[in-house]
Amino acid sequence: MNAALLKVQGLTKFFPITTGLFRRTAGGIKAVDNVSFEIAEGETLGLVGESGCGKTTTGRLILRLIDRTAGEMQFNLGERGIDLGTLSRDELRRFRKHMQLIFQDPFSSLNPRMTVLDIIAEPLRAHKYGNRAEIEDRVRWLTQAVGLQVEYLRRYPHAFSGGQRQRICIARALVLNPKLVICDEPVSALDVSVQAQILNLLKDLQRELGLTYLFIAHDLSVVENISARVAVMYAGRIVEMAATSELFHHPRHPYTEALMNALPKPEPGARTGRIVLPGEVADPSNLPPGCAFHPRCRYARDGCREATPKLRALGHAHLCACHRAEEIELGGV
Amino acid sequence: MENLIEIRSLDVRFYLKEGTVHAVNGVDMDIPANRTLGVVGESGCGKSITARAMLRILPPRGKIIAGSIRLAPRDSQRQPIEITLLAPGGREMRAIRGGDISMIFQEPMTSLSPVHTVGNQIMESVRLHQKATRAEARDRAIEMLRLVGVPMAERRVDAYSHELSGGLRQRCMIAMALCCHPRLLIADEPTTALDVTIQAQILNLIERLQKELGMAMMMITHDLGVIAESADEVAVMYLGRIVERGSVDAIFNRPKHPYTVGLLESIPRIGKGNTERLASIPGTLPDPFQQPPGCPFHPRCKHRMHSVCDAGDPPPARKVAQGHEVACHLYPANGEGRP
Repeated sequence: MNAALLKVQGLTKFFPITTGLFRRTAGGIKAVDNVSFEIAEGETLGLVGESGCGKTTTGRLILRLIDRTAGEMQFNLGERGIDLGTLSRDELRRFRKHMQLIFQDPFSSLNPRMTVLDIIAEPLRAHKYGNRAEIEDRVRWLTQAVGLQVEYLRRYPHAFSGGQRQRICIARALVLNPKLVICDEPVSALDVSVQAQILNLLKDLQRELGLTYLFIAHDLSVVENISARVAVMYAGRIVEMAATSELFHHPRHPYTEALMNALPKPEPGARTGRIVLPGEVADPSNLPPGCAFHPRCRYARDGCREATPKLRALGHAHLCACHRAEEIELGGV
Repeated sequence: MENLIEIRSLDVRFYLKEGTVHAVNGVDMDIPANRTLGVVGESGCGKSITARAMLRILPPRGKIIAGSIRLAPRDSQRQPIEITLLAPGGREMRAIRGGDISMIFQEPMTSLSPVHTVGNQIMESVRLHQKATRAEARDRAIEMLRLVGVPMAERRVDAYSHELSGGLRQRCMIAMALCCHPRLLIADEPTTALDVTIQAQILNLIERLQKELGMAMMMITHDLGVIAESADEVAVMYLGRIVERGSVDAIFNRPKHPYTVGLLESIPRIGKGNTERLASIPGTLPDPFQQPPGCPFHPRCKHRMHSVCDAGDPPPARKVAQGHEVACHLYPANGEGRP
């Protein structure tokens, strides 16, 4: 395994809920609670969970689009280790070329009044990359690399389909030659036949350009297809993290088991009993005591209602936050 | 009439400023009583428009220009009802809508009224279709909410939609759709906006209710997993046409049309690991105003035959096995086609 490009330690984000005229704090949401992980250079870490579990907030914290409440984020650029949390505004602006973001919805994340050329060139101009000819060369090269025709550069986004727009978004994210790309649900707004094209493109670009991905998604089969390791989040915490095949074949957390079981399989008659989790995703402003998952867990015991389980190592690089991980037998795929 | 619904050669067009969109082209569809027809396809394939035509709730610029949609009468002595001949706002159509055919939509937030309680919305439907006093309708609403598994139904009946989570809203939508015992439930992407664990709850619920209440169902979705788990028969649509239809087993295990094959190959499957490169269908969906000549799929098809697939009329549906039809030139009328 390569050296870690990004090391996140104890990352926490607390959003206060304020009420009344004087904005009195009346409670809060721990959107991200003590999250730690590493991503090796050239690796893809999948971050999976249901809506409100904190996966997108984690991505935004790393990019410093919002500020953390606590925790360390170290970005290793060559020999230098950079503490992302303490960069000043100017330093951050210069540093952002090393980390970029691809959004979910390619329809709302492209400016309709800019041509494709201007959209892809804008980061270069903002970072004062070379002269006009150099910028255009770089844009042309990248346009071809993401599978678009150079003739499209003078057109506006409305002329493109969802898949083509997502290719434009990818070109824009890669134009500054970043090290880390945070992909936030990059294929969930796309049609099935186009989704496969974009997943393949992301894999090809990773190999050619040596990119590192944090791949955020809710769809387990998509995450499995692209990730080397996967972290599962529930109510702001990582509940399980392991190498992809280990996690899918030998899940240790009941939530991971239920997520995999709940996914409808495209094989008629393959289903042998659905594990239906009762209730809904835990309310982050009013988390249940103990393990946040216990009200929906079919393996829960009294102990689960009292102490919050810590993320601990179980065998080969497999982390799991469940009190009963050793006792229970779970089914993978 | 053998089936609950029989659609023949249905054409729906949209007359827009930019041009005419042929949204549905010559669609034939049968839905037998108590069975589930899965309709699968990508955005713009006409799957939702077909459903909306059945309820006569097409957007203002959409017109049914040809074809028939026949609904079997409740009383078998009577004649089938020709839905295309009814006035969309007329008394008969309003009685069918909600009474015989109900629909649940993808986005429960936008299809529930924000200014009425969910109870009032269910009661409205009950009182429109059945003779019931306010108190009876309210009891019926509470009973329906219980049936769809809404906890504390007697309190939730007075809740507004913004007070409910996505899963509960979808349950309320289902309660509203089912309160007058429709014979056909159209579910248009009922779980697409929901999380996977909530999706599993809703799919289980729909499955249970269908058995208990004995309804036919039309399940519209782009998710092949949902189709595989819920449908008996499947119709695959592309650009307003049904390109293949058959039993769920035939479609998933013996797909014939290159588009169906491509769709099945392009979905990532859980348990296959991260080494696999996905097969993908090249190209994108064409501009809706300019359908390709010949077979609508030919620009993206790897089996296309020059001057066969790219000219003339689109290939007609032909039988390849009992109950399995495909519209593709690879399978000519005289029998054995290429695998």
